[in-house]
Amino acid sequence: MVAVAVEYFGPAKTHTSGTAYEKVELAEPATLNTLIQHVGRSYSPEFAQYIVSSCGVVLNEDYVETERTCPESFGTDIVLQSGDVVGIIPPVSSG
Amino acid sequence: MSVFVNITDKPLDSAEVLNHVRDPHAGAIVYFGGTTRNTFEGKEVVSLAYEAHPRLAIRTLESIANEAKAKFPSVHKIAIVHRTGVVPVATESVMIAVSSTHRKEGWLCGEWVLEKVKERAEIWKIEKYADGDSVYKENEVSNVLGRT
Repeated sequence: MVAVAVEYFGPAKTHTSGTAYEKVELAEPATLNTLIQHVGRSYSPEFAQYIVSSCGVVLNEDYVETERTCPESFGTDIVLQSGDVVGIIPPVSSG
Repeated sequence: MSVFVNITDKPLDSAEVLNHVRDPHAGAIVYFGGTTRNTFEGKEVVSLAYEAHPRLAIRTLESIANEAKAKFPSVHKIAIVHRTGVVPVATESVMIAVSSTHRKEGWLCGEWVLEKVKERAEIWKIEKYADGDSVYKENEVSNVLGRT
């Protein structure tokens, strides 16, 4: 199992009933796609779609670049390891 | 230090921000304060509340300030400060100050910095209305998909 932490910021929390941080266990081999599928099942497919179409994603505080045409192809090339922290960064609104 | 950035949950102090950029080589200090406006599309706004990614947002503000210094060579110092938590009407959530040799680059730099902050800073606001409703906002210029 791969144990990662997920952080939800800003409006992402409207999809998680306010949860800002959680630890998730994923079966190996775990990729960002595995995590998105998990998030879609835990919360809603709409949330998974929102992440794929609108949110930046940081892995250990570095932005990742990945395929965004649909949840099925999102993040398949990004391997997750135990201890990784994934941050969901919705469209921003400072100032 | 020619760049000062901070994120704080305390009320912002414009005099302090101006003093961070004050410089004997500068002929101008340009200041922007973003304040909570009391209406949005006809609805009465009572406050804005901000949250920030504790580390990414500071890193982004610092990058923006350093990019601005490279882009505007006659700018001496830049300060960017953003507040988190509840910001009441007519109160600043963000302050940007720039000191420059001459005023023209100061104005241009200040505006450039503000637009980049609105595009990139990992900070989110909730608008709270008099009727009790609240909603997360999204900046028109927000760009999170193109971030590196």
